[in-house]
Amino acid sequence: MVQETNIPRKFREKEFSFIESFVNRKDKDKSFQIFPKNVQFVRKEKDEEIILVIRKHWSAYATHIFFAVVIPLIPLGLLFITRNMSNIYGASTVYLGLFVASVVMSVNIIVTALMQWYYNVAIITDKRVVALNVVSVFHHVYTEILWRRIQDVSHDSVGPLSSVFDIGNIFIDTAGEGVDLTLTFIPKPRGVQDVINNLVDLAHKGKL
Amino acid sequence: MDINYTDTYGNLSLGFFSTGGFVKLLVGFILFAIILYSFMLILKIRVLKDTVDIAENSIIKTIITFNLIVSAGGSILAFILILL
Repeated sequence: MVQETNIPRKFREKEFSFIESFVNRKDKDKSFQIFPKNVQFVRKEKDEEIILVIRKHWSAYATHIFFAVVIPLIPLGLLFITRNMSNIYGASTVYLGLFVASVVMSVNIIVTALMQWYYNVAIITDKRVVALNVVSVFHHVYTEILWRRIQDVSHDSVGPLSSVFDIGNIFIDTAGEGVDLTLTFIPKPRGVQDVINNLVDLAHKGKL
Repeated sequence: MDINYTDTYGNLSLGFFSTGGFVKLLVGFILFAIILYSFMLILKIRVLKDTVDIAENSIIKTIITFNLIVSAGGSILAFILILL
């Protein structure tokens, strides 16, 4: 829970209107950390304060969970189907071997999802927004946008999952064509948009 | 003309394929790929940790290392069972 005393002095001024929504917040969600400690990233300045660390909601990894559950069932299904057909794949230990292999595969899928959940992170500071997107084990994207460069922020909330879990996508646009940064499966997108808009406003007024 | 398929193909031996040899070979490749993938995860974590350093990084590193051990052990066990 964020107590008023835990909020850095810098943010206790009235200009930071989003702070009100943070105070006495009771959720212990790891996907939405307010004023976290011990967070570092490349090019972080000494006096830079981290306001929010946001991760994707777990429902973004539903397909990983689905495959991790289904894959070990395949050798069991094969064993059931071929129970009356002798020597299709050799001895029955082959099925046991396939089952162990499928469990190993499932463990890797779960660990990959965990790694992606942990490192697919958006960090909101008083100077910029930083986003790390781990697409796969061979591909990640690191984006950094200063508040004064941001022109427009919007969010959408599409589909049944977004209504059930209160998740959405945030679109951050700088000058030029197209959306520059999209944060997907973000919990409480309205609150995050409010924080970003507040910081962008202050940056444009020269107060940040 | 009647063709007696039983006589024609009855004695045909599939050899390697009839004993599930193809499946064994395929699973062997998959298991090797899984071990390689687990190792790649460790390398990836090193890069990501350098980019963004968050408090509980060591927990993730432990999980990934444990995953490599489980993957290597499980793959060897699975391969032995398949070859039996």
